[in-house]
Amino acid sequence: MTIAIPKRPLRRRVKKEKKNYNLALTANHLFSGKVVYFTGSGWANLLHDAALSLDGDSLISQAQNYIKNESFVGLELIKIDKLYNQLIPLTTKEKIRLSGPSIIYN
Amino acid sequence: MYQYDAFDHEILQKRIEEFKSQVKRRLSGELSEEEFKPLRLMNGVYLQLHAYMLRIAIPYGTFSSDQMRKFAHIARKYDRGYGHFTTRQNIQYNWPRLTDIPTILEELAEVELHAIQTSGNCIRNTTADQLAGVAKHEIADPRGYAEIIRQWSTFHPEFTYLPRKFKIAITGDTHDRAAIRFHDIGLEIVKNKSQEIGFKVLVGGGLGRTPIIGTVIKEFLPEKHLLSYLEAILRAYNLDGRRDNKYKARIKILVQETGIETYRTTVEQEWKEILKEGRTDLPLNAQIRILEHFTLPKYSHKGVTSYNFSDFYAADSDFARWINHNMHDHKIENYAAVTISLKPLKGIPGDISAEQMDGIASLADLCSLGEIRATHEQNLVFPHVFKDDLPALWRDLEKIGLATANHGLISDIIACPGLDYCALANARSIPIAQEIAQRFDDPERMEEIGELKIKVSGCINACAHHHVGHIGILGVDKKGVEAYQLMLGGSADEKASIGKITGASFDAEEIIDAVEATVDLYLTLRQDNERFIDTYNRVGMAPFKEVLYG
Repeated sequence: MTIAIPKRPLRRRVKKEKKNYNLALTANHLFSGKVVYFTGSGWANLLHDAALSLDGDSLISQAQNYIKNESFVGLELIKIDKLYNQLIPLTTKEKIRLSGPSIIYN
Repeated sequence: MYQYDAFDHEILQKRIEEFKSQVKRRLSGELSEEEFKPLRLMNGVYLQLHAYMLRIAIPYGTFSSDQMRKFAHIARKYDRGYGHFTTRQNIQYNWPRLTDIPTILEELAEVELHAIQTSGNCIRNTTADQLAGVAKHEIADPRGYAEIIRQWSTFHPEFTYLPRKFKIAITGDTHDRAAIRFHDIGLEIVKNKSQEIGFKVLVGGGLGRTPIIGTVIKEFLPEKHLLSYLEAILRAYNLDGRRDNKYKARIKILVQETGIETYRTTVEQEWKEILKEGRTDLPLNAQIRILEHFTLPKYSHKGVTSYNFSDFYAADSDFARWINHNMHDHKIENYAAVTISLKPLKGIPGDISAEQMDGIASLADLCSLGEIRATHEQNLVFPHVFKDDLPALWRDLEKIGLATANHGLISDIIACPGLDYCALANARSIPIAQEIAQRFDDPERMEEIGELKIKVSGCINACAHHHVGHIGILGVDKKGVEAYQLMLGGSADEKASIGKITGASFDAEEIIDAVEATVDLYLTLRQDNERFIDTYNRVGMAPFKEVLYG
């Protein structure tokens, strides 16, 4: 019997240079739990509408005016990359938060 | 099955009213999120990646066809048409709106269901052997004792704010299907030399970031002292358990840090004090009243000889395969318990649609005296099936996509919701489980491999019990990218063991190849049809490391 031997995982070279990523502010809507992004003048469901900044503190301070009764919860700054003019979250977790579960029920 | 009395209904209604008011105050802004979060968690409400998640308790995994119909209704009306059975015999919904949850809880209360003790630092829903009451070699049905624990622990004022969550599991069989060695307290029903029923008590087991096999703290606890002794364990933990570091706060850490002898002495001292007070243990009549809910039902075909079953078994190989893997021996002749696998090919482990729930409810009424069990391996069980009904049951299960003949085989994989849903996860679990199941999607190959338990967790919290998988997979985050550690040699049964990591992690594609290489090597190494875990225990890690890493 032949045994399938997987390739040994490649040791990826760690990039030393630091890239300054744009940040967006995300949260969940209190009533529904839906994912939302801060636009600079409110909240939207689409990342495309998100306000971007290199300064996370400034985003959070702007957003304070738009959190009535704390109706948006779980605020978090996320790193955003731009590819072909599309905004793309850097981490797999945020990609899944943006587009929903990667597996579709049924 | 246990039926609520007026007191049960009353406390449930009061709890719903209380939570309804808390939600209303949160939505109006009267309560901050910081104030509200512990309150929602006490009612089984989590905030996950995309939405809220509501976890509903199924005490000791036993529920009725009417309760299943209610689950279907909730899935349809308030969620997205499906539910997910968890590794603690609960069900959870992934998409409810916070504004709907009080109404959902009201609907659940109509059929004696709730979300209490499914979250927070309290005594959680007690889990039990899924074959409780019908297992052929069982000493006694553990569910009556689990119900006694439920009534004692629900809203117990002393144990509402424990250092961390606290999980109890109980079995009445020497073959452990309830993973009691990996719970904060594990209870095994035993008999002493005088044939009196009691409990072997284990303490300080657990998984998560510090997997530990529980230690026996008492070899024989007389039945009548169950609650006083549990109270002593909990009291000692509540006093001495760490509250400065949540990662060190479980009882397993306390037992490891103090040593079992010291901890046992503390518990025994507490127990003496509790016994002096003399008000914790149940009076005998109250105990009997609860245990009577769990006597064997009236089997109408008792003593009837079964012909249809054996004829069909000989004639249909697919049916025979299903019987071979999914049917379990029963206390009563010509009856069987049957596992209904929630792991169909390309399915999501533990998920079930509202239509399937309704189908299961109808079939339970027809073939299982209206009773269903949820298993910690994310399957369902019909505990009371007359063997002659099995061919018809199998055909009807096929119609709703739930006749997969894979219980205990390589595609019967436990997987947590992982990064597809869970806010704590580092990596996806479900797609990995699906890929592995697909890779081995050949009934003959699965049968050749035999019993092999694969468990896939998306993070170190180990909801899928990866440490005790024969093959365990743990999702980790490598700078925002998913990777998977492979573990071998874990086991959750009476020969408990914790799996060992093979070496460097794999990416999502490599992990499937790595599992296949591991299984292929096992097939070349095994002797006399031994199981994967037995081969691993015989040959050790080295040959597997060699094939995986060279």
